Amino acid sequence: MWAFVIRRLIYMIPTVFIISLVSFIIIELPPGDYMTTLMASMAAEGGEMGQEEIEALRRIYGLDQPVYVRYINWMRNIITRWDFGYSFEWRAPVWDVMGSRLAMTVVISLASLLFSWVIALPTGIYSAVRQYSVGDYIFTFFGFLGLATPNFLLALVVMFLAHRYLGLSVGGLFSEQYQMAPWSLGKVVDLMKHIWIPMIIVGTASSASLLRITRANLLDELRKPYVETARAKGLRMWRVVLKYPVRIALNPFISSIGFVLPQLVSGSVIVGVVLNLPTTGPLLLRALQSQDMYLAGSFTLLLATMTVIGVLISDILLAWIDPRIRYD
Amino acid sequence: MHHGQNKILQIKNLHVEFPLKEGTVRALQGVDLTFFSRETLGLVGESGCGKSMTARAMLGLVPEPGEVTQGEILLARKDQDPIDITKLHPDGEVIRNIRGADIAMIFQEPMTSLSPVHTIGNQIMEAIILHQKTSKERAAELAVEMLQAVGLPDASRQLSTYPFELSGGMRQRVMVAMALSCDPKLLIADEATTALDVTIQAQILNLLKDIQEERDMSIMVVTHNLGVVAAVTHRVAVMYLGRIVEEAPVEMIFEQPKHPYTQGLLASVPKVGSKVGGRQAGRLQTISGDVPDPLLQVSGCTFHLRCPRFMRGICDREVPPFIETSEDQQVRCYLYSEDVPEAEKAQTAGGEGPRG
Repeated sequence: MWAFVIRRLIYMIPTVFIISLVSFIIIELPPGDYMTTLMASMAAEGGEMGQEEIEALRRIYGLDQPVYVRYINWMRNIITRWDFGYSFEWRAPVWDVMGSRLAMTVVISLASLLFSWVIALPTGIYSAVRQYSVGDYIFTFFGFLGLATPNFLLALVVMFLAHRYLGLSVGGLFSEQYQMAPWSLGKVVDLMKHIWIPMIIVGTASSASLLRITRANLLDELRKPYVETARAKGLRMWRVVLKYPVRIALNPFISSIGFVLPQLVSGSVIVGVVLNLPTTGPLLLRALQSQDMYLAGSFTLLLATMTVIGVLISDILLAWIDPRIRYD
Repeated sequence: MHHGQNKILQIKNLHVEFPLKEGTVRALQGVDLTFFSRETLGLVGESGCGKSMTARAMLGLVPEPGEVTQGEILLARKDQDPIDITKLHPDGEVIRNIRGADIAMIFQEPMTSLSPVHTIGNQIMEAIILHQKTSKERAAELAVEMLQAVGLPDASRQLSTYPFELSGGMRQRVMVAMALSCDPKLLIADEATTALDVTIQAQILNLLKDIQEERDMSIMVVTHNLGVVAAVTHRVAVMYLGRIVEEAPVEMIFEQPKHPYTQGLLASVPKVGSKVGGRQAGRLQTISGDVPDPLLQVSGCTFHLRCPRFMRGICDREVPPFIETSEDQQVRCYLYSEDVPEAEKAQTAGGEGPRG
């Protein structure tokens, strides 16, 4: 088991390196740089920048150097000083802009992951064991509804309902008085009050797909001979189901850990915008639009790295619950 | 014949039906079997004839939507009246206490009949803890004893291995150990050796024989392999389409098979050194026609559609009753009925039956 973990950790290093390289190149691909965006916005406001001024700015920010030099400098600063570069648009170090948003992203991801597990596991098991029952049809109906409804639409509907009928302040993760306040018990309670809306919205689609996967997997497993063996021993039906087939049908739950982050980042940017969430999605979108390259690059790098870590965690857990993987 | 042997379980006129959208499948249409201690009964027949369904019904494990519509399965109990398994709730406490403890089963596929993600120890000890209410430590000791008894080398170390680390033969030994762990009175081996190499088959079969002598157990061997039947059984019941068509001691089945189906079954086994199938060398004799559509209701004897000695107006009317042809052999066939004129029987002898 330990050999497996260590081997996987070593595999991670080249993966992350290649990810950093690729994300840097992708961000460099579109023509122009932040200066182009800056000039365009200045021109739109009627102002004008001299060519010299621009060249000076380019030098200051290191934009005049070749790509590989910038990449090496960027990586060196990250590794030696945890310095992800400077955000042109926010006029602040990238880490200061990004750090808290990254934390909030992780919090919402984990919350919606838990939400989807709590919803999908019992309903999926019920749907499989009582296939074609009324309950199965109801869960299936809501499952398809959840899969088919775009998240941002769901976000709008839930926001409207929560505001209109529950009188809750919606949007964002904090009430106004806590927005800028340092962390305190009150702020945590306030977060709990707000987090359930994004949790439900982001979690709905993944619970719906997890439910379908659990149901399908479990239906396969329930027909396997080992279920009959266990019943022939004299075990109660539910104990058999929970100990044997559910255990094996659990794999997709564990695999979902690795995919929740990229899903939240790319899949729910619009939800983030609609709900005004202080997560990475909206910020990343803007950074890409304005070619704020160090910010965009750092986001891509960190999110990709976290995805790699997420996949690693799910692989280790899979090996832990399924001995067949461990011994490969 | 059965003096000194106790009757352990008796199946009387068992019917199992599957109500499907397309119609009702009559999986068992009146099965009668009796099991005695220290005796091995072979249940043979083609696939789909109801062998495995009979075995499952004995454990109260008829798969949905199947149901027992008639008949009873009476399990003898110490100092009590026999209990009818068909009347028990399929997940109730009474049947759960019978499964594994009184009646245990070895399944066909040693690969898939064990959970791939639980250790062998876990899976054996589970039954022991459940039925014998022992501590985990004691259950582990008993499990090691069982694994030693079935000849698994290095038994105590094997408790922590997973099924995929063992060979097919070893896995089947584990299945045997698991089935025997609670000292059942009746052991059902459902095609238990079919998936194994011939040499491993022999080892497992000999193992069952030895254990039976030690424990006075009754064994039912469900198989389509007549070699297995000849090797281990004392008595044989031949099944065709949900009914037992012939039952006799194993020697009589092989030497004087009475039912045309049994005769056909034996003739379709290749024999070394003889003219194959007893007809022309090089070709095996087969039973003409196919097993009819399970939804089709066959009147009279279910074999009459394929029978070479079919008697029109007799075999296709009523289900033939069991007829005793000798003290210990009974057969469901009108050829042996005293009520059917000899002229009718003679007419069919040597003739071909209708096909299809």
